[in-house]
Amino acid sequence: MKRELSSVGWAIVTGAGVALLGSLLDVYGGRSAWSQGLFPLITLPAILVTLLGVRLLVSTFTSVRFRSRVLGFTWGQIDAVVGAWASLMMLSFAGGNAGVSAGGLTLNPTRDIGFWLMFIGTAVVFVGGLIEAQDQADPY
Amino acid sequence: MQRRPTAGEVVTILSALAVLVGSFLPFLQVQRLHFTVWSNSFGILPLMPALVFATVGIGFVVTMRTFTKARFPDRVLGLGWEQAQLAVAVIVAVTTICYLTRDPGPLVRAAGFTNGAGVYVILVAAFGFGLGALMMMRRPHRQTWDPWS
Repeated sequence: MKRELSSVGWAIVTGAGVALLGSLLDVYGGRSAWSQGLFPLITLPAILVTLLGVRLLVSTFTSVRFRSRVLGFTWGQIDAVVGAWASLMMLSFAGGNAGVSAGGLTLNPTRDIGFWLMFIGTAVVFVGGLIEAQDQADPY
Repeated sequence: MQRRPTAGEVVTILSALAVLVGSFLPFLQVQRLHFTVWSNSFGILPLMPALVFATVGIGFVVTMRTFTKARFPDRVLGLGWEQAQLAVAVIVAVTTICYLTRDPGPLVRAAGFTNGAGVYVILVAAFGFGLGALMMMRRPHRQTWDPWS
């Protein structure tokens, strides 16, 4: 039987792709998220949402079947938690200082286009994960 | 009658306390400059404080449920309390490992950049927090913690 990804699923996959693409572009001060000094902390949100997107694609378009629950979590809950985690990280990096503040001196590298693509991509995955978790919620 | 705390509850409460203590210890050091979880540098704030608040918040709920008659909702944000605790433990542990393994680059390293004791305390406490969640998930075989028996 041919299986199809829901619109929410496509949103998660697209958000993950946008975040991964952003991580490869300039994120901080002309450096990608995979550069020395940024990897693995700044890269982590992109890795997390990419894993979600890949899991969704594999479970939909291949014959690979995952267990319905992992440590008591449904996949919808896992998507929502990981999406929230990645979004929280990007929100924190948007509001915090990636450089150093000491002795009245502040050195803060500029956030580039890749950063904002990661920000948007992880937010889309978070919202998609929330909707997916609600759809899978057990009404009883 | 007041019930005695289970082993999982004790591990959870102690781990949450350890995370709180670790947040005030040096997280990163550059020569004689110390940066704690509450320092707005190196991308620590507000991410790590948010994770400390989540850990201490769940630890507080477990403490209240154990030692008082306070009642809380069965679920938080669509997750059971033990699930939320396990999720927070994994998030804190993986995020802390990322801070721990981050290579700041030759220039910053040459300036004397090292990880502080706080990052190790929080990492160990996060594992304890997760262990506490797993122990509490196995509630049918409730084991009471009694150091005197």
